[in-house]
Amino acid sequence: MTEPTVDRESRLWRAIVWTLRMSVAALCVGNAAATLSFGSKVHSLLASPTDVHGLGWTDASASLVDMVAGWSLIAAAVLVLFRPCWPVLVPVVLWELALALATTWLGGDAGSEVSLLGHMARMAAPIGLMLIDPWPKNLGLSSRRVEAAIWLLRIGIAATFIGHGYESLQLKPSFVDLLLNSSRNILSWRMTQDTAECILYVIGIIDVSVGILILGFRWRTIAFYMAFWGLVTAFSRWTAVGWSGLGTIYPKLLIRTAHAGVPLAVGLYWCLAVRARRYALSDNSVAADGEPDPTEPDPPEPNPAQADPSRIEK
Amino acid sequence: MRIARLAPARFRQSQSVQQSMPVQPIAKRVIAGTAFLLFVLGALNPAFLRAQTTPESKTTPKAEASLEGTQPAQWRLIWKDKPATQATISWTTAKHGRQHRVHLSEGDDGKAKIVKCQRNGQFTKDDGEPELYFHHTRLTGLKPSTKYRVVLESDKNRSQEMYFITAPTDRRSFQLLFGGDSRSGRKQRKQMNRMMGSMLNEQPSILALVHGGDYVANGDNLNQFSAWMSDHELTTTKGGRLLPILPARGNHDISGLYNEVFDFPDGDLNYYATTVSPLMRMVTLNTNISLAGDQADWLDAELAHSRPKYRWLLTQYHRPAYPAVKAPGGAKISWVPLFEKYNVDMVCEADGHAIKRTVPIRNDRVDPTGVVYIGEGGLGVGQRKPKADRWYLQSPGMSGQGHHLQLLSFDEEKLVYRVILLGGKVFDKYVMHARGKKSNVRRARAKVLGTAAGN
Repeated sequence: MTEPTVDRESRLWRAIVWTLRMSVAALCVGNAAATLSFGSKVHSLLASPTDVHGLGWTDASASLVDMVAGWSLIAAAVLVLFRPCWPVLVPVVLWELALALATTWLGGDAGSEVSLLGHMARMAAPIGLMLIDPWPKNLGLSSRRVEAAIWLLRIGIAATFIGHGYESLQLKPSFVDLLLNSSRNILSWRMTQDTAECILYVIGIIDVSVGILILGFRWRTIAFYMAFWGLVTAFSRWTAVGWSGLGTIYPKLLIRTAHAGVPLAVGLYWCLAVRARRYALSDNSVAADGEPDPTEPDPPEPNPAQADPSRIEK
Repeated sequence: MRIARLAPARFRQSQSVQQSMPVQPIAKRVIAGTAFLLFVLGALNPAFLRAQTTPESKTTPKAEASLEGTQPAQWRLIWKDKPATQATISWTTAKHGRQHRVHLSEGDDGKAKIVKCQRNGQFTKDDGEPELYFHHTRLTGLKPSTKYRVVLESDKNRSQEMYFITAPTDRRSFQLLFGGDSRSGRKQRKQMNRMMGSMLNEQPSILALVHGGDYVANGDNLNQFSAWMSDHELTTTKGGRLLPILPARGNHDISGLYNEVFDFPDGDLNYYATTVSPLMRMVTLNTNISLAGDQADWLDAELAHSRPKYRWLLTQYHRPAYPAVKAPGGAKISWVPLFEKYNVDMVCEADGHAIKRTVPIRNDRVDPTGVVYIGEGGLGVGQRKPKADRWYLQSPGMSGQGHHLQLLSFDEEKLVYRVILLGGKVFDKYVMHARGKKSNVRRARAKVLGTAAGN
């Protein structure tokens, strides 16, 4: 039996795809800028001496790797906007994974032990894009593939929020400073360190909670909250340094757009699911008393093809 | 009144220029593939293959001094806030021992008095690491600019006789060494330490080593810290003069071992200020904790207090505000405005594994009245190529690479800064005139603008 293919012209579906495309493109540009301007953790791993768990490469060889990776990421950013495809996206995922592993391996940063968790959303975005926007185009899009992609995105963003929540509960100093400097720059409020640490603790609890909730429930509110908070935390890098600091801070901001893009894509998909269910109910002339409840725990994953059954390619 | 302080209780625990979870199968495959790729890349690298055959990479670094029983080893002299009258002498033993004390004599002929260790304990260790014990003796009531002979004793086992000289309380000229990042490249670290010992021998006006942090790669690894402490013995001169150290915490110096090595209270936040001389105050900061919170408030008060009193006001910390290699650290936002507000003379930074001296900076641009940032760390660690195209490293600033330390010479009128490479070559020299005199400001402006125009 042939799996139905998805109508790729549906507005919501296009919004999901473009959310992921933009997130991955921003991730690539941010990583490229960081790598070319400041060097990457992969460089540190390659160039560190073997007696401190590095690979003992020369600085020149490691810099060459950075340079090749940086320019490749810029090319990947452009290609992702025009036509995402696995030969472009797989290296992006691998680079992000290498960054996470190198950070954990080298240590030396607060929270480096949970670096892999923090990077999960950034790895999930390109993998999710690979699955829901397949290349070559004639591959088609099965409901199973979409289901896998959405689960992957959920796991990715959950891991990132739990990782960051854990760091917040540990009162990571750089997070404390984000709060202190942002409140000073935006609100002209000189917050005390004690206050910032209390707020950070609450943020940590919320982050871990929503990280768990998005795995257990299909609540659009949670997904959209996570998208909102992902955007806030990405922009906090900027608000902490002020307008003049944008020149050096923009790579961090761009890299973290995936923290907003991934839950936004999940939230939009659940909107699509609710709409699909509504169509299904009306088509079957079932007496529906009111709006379908999107907070209902785990109904079967809808087939995205049902988003607009009239448009399914036969 | 000096306002140097330790942690709050609630946390207790020129200008001449030289040069320039559950995962999908596909994700599993990706992770496994990347791990394999990294493994292959690393394993195929010739340097890595070579390293597998060298004994040092296979074994835990061994201590330089013999650590047996209660024989004192790994001695270090630590300066905190009042080095004219106070110092902490510390050592390590392999056994706990019962009685630990210092025989302290003033001058060459003074009668020895015995000072008992105030703090003894076992270094925090992981499974498989040896049991080692620290002993800290806090010496107080010392006389300024005075030679003190010391013999360390643990259960009747004595060290050789050594000596140290306290900081001055008069306005004599003096020198300091600055360096950072001795966390890897043990061979080079030893060479740098021997060079420091030689320099101390040849230039008695050197008072101390200001260390910008990253002593070891894994700050929770006792073996690595033990090796560092043993190697630090090499800074002692052949005549037995000890080189005091003013430590700053680096990003690799995680865990409580740092406090055990340098006699900070458990949970201390590791920022403090040192009156090296009536001419000079050194403020040591910690980039591993919040920079913008209590530490910034303390820094504000400290600089406001110190600036009018001292001819030379310097700060040191690990992660740079104006880096030669990496991205700017949080110091740029939280501390640089204070440095500029209080006209700090020079800022010593580490972490980048390169050599750098910035142009004088104020409001993020070249300004003859600005602050000069030096350092980046070369006490053994492998060197990186600096990003020489950054605006603040352009002439009259500079950048480079090579194992190195900085020699800072202070007098009433000027601060002479030199970068000394391993082997003794002077790589960079810079002369800074004391702030406050209009003629000096004019001179600095002419030099900076002249060089800029020349470019």
